[in-house]
Amino acid sequence: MSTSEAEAALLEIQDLKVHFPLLKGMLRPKLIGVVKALDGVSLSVRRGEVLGLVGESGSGKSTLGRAIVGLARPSAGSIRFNGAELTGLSRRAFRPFRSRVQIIFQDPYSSLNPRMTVYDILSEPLRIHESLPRAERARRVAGMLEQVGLAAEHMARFPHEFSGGQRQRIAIARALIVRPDLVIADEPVSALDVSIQAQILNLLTDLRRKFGLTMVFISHDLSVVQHISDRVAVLYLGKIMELADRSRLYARPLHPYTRALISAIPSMDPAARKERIVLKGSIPSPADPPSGCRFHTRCLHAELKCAEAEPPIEAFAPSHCSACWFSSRWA
Amino acid sequence: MTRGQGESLWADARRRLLQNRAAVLGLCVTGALLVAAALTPWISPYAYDEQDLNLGASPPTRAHLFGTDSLGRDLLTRMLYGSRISLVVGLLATLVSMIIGITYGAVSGYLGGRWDAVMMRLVDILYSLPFIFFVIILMVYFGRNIVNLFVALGCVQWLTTARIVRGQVLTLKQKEFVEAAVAMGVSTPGIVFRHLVPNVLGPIIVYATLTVPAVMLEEAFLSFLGLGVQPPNCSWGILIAEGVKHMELESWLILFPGFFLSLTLFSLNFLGDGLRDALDPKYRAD
Repeated sequence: MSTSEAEAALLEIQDLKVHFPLLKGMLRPKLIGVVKALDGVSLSVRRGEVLGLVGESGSGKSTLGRAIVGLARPSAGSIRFNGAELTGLSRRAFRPFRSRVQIIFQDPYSSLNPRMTVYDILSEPLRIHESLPRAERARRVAGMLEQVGLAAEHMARFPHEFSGGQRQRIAIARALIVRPDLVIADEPVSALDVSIQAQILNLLTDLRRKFGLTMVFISHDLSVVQHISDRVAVLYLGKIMELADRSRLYARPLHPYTRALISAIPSMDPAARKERIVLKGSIPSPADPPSGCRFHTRCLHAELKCAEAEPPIEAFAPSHCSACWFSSRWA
Repeated sequence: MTRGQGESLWADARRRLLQNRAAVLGLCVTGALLVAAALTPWISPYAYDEQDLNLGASPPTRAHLFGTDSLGRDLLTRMLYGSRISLVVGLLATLVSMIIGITYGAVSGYLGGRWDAVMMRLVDILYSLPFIFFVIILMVYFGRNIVNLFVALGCVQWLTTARIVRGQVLTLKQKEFVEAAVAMGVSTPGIVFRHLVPNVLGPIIVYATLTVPAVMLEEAFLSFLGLGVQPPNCSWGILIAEGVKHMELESWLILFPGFFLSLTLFSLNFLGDGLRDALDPKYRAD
């Protein structure tokens, strides 16, 4: 990575690990295992870009998002935001970063407090991070509601009076109202109807342009990620399998796992339909990942070597990295 | 700020409560009793300690609608004054128990882990003590006055509240709105009291209406044992205790207080049931 690129990175993650101990017993818990939700992830997010994170459930993509906003405690590695180290900070020391990094959750039915009005929900972050006079606060809330396609008179209503798509707009407004530098969107459209998904994606695209947002967009849906991302990282069992510019990743995937995922995207054009690569089985337990390359148990191209040694993540082209012994076959 | 045309959760709950006849009846009876208790000094026909030894125990007459006791004291007057104490004990002790129970349960549930384990074991230990024994110790050590009675009853009643609140908080804290609040930088007290407690108020209000009659019964029981309210003050519990002594010959002395205590308990229970249904989102009419 050149220095200019490093300078432009808003978020830099180095060898991040998030391990959850499996404990048994209440008063003197015994360690019976470790779930390695993230097991050494390095990536950087440049200012102004949208990085897509894809993976199956259990790949650790949500854990990565939660670690960035301080909801999951990293076991090792570093997260640098704007040059400042975020890991190991106390709650108090983390607080100034809370307004700089915001998160949008998957389920708009559980991410809004049912006992608070929209005004209460949107003004809470303002009360914490900016001391504004009441009138100014109300003006900001009204302005933000309009930005996300709702009206100022919705302020006095409760979340249960809105549809799923509208609720997600409220959640987006809550994340953006403190004008964060970085937004983690954790599957923001997965819980919505397909027709609503497109609206919310377009809204995010608009807001990104208007506010110059940097975003980490987490999804299990490659076609959704393709729509919105500049670069895409593919996660599998807590590790990055492939990381590339969007166009390169979709046109020329270098990792067998990415190839399988992309072949599974439905296509409207019969001529463009490729043969679908069907993966065997389901994702292994992150408490007991396979030896060597962690994808080898399901890989069509796996050889003896794959079970023995873990392939390093290597660059095969500028801004295209892959962690497979045989990536050069497809390069 | 004015509310939009949308109905708030509370407005919706109120509408459904008013559709429930038993609950409305319970509400009216409870309200009437509270009004009567509040207005007692002005509406009671006699002074509460006024005796008429010549009259002695008299069955209900025009002058004494509920009859008199063996000292010739008017039963209606004594019941009105007694209701003040019984209702105040019921409401205050419930309030004390709710405040302690909600705070303790919410903090325990939200902190989780070792804190939760220790805090809940303490509740288990207190639970295992016979409650009457506990109250008696408190009353004996801190004196038999009415404030101590509230405190003693409240201190015993909060245990169940704490368990209910903790259970609710354990499920609520998994919800993303709590995580969103953490990610936003809301302080721990802010999360507990702004985000968690308002969401457990439904079950708590219901449990509170069920606690009021329970506490009134306990006060009656303690007074019956001579540990509660001291003469010449009286409560329904004392009246019933006295009534029991004269039950065979002067049955009105137990019938009237017994009837009104039962009526209060029924009303509050109906009201509690109605509130539970009205606040349960499963019954929401939309």
